[in-house]
Amino acid sequence: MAAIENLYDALSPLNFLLALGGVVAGTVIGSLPGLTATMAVAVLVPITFSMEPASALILMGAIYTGAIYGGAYSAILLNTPGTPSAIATTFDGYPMAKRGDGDLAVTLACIASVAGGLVGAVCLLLLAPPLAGVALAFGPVEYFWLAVFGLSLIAALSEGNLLKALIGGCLGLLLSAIGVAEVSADIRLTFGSQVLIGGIETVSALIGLYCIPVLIDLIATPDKHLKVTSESKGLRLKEAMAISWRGKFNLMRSSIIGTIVGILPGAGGSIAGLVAYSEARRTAKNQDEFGKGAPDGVQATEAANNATVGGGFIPTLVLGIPGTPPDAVILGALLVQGVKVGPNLFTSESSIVYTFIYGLFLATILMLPTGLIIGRYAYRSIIAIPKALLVPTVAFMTLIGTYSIRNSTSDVVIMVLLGVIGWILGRLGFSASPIVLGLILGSIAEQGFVQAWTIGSATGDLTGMFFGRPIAMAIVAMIVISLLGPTIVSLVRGGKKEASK
Amino acid sequence: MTSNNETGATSAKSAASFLSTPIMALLFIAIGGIVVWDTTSYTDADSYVFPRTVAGAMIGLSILLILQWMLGLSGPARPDQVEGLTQSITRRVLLVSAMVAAALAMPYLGFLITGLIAFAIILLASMYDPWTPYRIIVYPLSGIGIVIGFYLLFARVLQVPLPQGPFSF
Repeated sequence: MAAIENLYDALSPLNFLLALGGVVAGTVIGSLPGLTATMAVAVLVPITFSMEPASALILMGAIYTGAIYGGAYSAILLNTPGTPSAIATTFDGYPMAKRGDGDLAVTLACIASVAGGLVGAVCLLLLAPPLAGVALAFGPVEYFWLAVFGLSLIAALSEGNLLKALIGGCLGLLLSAIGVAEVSADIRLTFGSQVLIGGIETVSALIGLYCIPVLIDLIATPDKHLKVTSESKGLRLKEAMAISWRGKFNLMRSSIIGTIVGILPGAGGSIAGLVAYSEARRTAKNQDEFGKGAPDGVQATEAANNATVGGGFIPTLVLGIPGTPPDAVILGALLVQGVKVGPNLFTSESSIVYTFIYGLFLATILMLPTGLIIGRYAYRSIIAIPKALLVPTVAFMTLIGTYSIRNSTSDVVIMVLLGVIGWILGRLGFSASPIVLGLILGSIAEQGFVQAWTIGSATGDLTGMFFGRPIAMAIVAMIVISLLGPTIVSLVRGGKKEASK
Repeated sequence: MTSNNETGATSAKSAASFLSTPIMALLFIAIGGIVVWDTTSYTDADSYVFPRTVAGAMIGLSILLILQWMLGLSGPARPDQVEGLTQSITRRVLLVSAMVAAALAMPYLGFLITGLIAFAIILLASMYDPWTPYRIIVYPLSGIGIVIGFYLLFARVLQVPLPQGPFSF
């Protein structure tokens, strides 16, 4: 009975409008390079102070889920992840757009985002208290291995030369070490420059490494940005639904990965997307197509990153530990409203929590029509706009987006320079993706490694610390399978072919 | 004569492409060396263990890359990596210069003015079609609309403190 009341509250005209407006605003903000989901939620937090807690939560949840999905547009159409969660979307989304399937990729991303968002919300509704324990089971060493698992994707992104990819990964890890060390506060690799003390901002580096090389190549020829087919194919919804149905196991697995990674404090949508992409590639029959425009890659990433929304709310609401950066902002807003998060929240203030969860379902479902319409409009705009206007518009968006992250002109200069370096390295066979992986996962890997090393040294059991914990060993096993699996499979297939001859 | 020049240019390009792998490997070895040297000034072991390990790995991998190249196992450069380098260098340089100059001029001229100037330069650099009367009117007006629209979105709606110049509003 209480559940029906909460559902009724969630569907009130005000909450419906808040969910709809939040999804639209989040999608638009998330699609702009430089504006992250955290920023989208933070900017709109003051509006929520005068609202009922459940309505405020619905608005913030809707903005958050919309922003995570919106990041896919620029990832697919401009090779620039709108938010860090959409990094892995570029791997296959942009190649799809270049060959004339941008509309299909955008629709696939929308369906996958809705599927992932719903799985995350179901887990939040049914399994929040028991799943919150996962957050507590993860220590520094598990985070370290999780980051290494993300880095193992470098092997998949090597584009022909594994050594060059690994060197690129090392370069990214070193870039992540620039500035003040998080563990010991030493100033590292700044060579006396004040500008570098704050380190290299991840999102601006992402914009530089992914977007600037595209602009540099785009401006050099009169060719069209994306291949356009002669007749309009509309949303290609039927085709996308058929592909999604064929990839239902991929969608489900990626959504579960996204939910679990979302539960882990500090991990976030980017790691969820990378891990899900890695798993999708490992288990796919068409492994060779990944990185060249495989729809499965787009589906895996988008399902996983949107599943982190529901997953991230689990530790936030049950334990008061934010699962992702936007959750931290939402947690702050809830505290201002006087809502006490913790294990008792689901009983003492159940009406707020369950109204919010139903509101999250509503926002996720609303994302399907709004996402498809906005996605179609974004795609048509990108292919219709003349190159002479597209290049300066995107360049201007990178300038304003990068500046707004830390209000720093130095970040803008670093972004452009990293872009030029990325373009040169790309020409010489060192692709940008391993560098970005290293940059993003570097701080998590280092923090986990140093903390685990310190604890292991203090307890005198370094080996046990790194290789004696069940979750850590499970992740290590996944890393080994991920790295050696394709080789073993190809050897077995080769052996079978030989035998059949 | 022209044929000889073209052959010469192609062989020079092939040589540059051929030598790029060992040159880059040596560059990464140098970067790794500089990182290791920098880590010697850190006071805490927690600070240097990670960058030093990664730098060591990068040096080792770069040496392996040189060995791979010497044995002829590194494979040829992809066609898309080699071609395209000869395409308009001037436009590329203009794009990058305009963006860097805009970043440096922002604190003095304000975001709006630098944004408009950078937009205009990049628009001119990326223009391949002939300037018809329609384009002469519509493209600059669209540019002004886009820059002012984004400026208002960030400065007023999202409350980002963009640099103020003499003509900001």
